[in-house]
Amino acid sequence: MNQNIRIEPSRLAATRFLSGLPEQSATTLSACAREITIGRGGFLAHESRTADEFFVIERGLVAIELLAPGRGPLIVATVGKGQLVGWSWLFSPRIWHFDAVALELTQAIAFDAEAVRQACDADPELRHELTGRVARAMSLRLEGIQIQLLDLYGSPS
Amino acid sequence: MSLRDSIAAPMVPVRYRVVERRRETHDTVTLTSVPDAGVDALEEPRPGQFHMLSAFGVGEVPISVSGVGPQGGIEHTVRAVGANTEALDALSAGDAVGVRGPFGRGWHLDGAAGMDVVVLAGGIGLAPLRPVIQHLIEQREENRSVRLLVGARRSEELSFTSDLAAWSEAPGIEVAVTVDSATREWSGRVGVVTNLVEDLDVDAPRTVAFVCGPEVMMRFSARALIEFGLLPEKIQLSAERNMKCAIAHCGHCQYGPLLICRDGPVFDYPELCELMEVREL
Ligand SMILES: Cc1cc2nc3c(=O)[nH]c(=O)nc-3n(C[C@H](O)[C@H](O)[C@H](O)COP(=O)(O)OP(=O)(O)OC[C@H]3O[C@@H](n4cnc5c(N)ncnc54)[C@H](O)[C@@H]3O)c2cc1C
Repeated sequence: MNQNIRIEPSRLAATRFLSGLPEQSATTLSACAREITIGRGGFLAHESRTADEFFVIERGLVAIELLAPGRGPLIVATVGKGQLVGWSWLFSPRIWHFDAVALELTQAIAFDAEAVRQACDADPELRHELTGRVARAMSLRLEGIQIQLLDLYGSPS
Repeated sequence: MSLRDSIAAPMVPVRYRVVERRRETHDTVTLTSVPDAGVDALEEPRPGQFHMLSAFGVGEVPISVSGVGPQGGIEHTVRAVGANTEALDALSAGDAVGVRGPFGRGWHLDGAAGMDVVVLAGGIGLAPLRPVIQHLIEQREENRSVRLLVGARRSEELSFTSDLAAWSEAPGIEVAVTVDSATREWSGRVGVVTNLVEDLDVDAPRTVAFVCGPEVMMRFSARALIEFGLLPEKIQLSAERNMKCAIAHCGHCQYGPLLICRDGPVFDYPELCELMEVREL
């Protein structure tokens, strides 16, 4: 079930991804945001479709999935409370590279990517805040994958 | 006992008998053993200590104590990776097993009094931490959070699944499990175990952590815990090195200036952090 509830700026700063966001940036960003609630199995994003939104999870758990031929959907990561789902909206060609599926009842703040890009063009401080936070989320995900490549639980050597 | 016997004693395996064999995963079993008829039980192990286990006719390897049962029964959880562990994995109820020990410096549980506790385990690393969790449940302190973070490659490779379910129900303890990748049948977290650290709701400077798993995992986990706010000296790790005598004579388990069998296997993170970054070690 999707809803269209407006978001107070303070609610953005209460999430881990946006914590400490300057008030002015939070106000601008909140104008591009709405609340959504998605039931178990509902999709936040579909691979190959236009990435016209991104999400910050407030409650619940979202699977980042890739469809493996012959094996069905494989979950490569889960994203939980306070975390960001989606950065494809920042980069050309702006399409999702994975599916994002709610594993349980999930409440998130959804951002209109086009509106956020325009707001960033008009407000360099917001752009700086947002790209820094997205870069950190990406680097944490990358670090996690690098550690996994070491086959963490396999051999002690 | 003659002088010669007492010197030899720690090197002589005591005959135990396997009374129960429980399969944990495709390559891991938990064996419960008791002293063979007419044989005195070995000293009761402390959490974090290990035994040298021998499959007769094959060889001897260090294996942590994963539990202590009634009538001097001891539990060991063995992952089959080579000749010795495969031979132990193949033992059935009724088979004999040689046991020496217990050896080593275990977890310093006293340091946990009055503190929040994080127990962080990767793969088979949950085995030596199981007695810690049991201790924390038995010695429950009000106003103390115990958080168990467990990582495994896949859900099928999780050991102690019934314990994990029971611990989740125990008061004062929260259990979070993550796997590296999964299908939709798994409804829990997916990602590296260090990701679980940032979700902790503990009072970081008043928290102790017990960490066990492969060395790479421990290195990254310790860093994540410190970044989260834990004090390095409040993090304990259990290290592994090949071992032969287990009584600090042979030097097989040397790790820089340390002997794992004598000085460990449990160390405070500051004792190990530099060594863990030396490539040749
Ligand atoms: C203090 C201490 C406590 C230990 N506790 C346990 C325990 O509770 N349960 C347990 O299963 N093991 C434990 N180990 C590790 C265990 O001792 C080794 O797996 C064992 O010595 C391997 O002997 P092997 O003859 O079967 O294989 P080897 O022929 O010696 O090794 C076969 C292959 O496995 C690799 N290997 C060696 N050790 C491991 C390992 N731990 N995991 C994955 N691959 C490995 C080797 O690099 C080699 O490639 C402990 C080690 C120490 C030092």
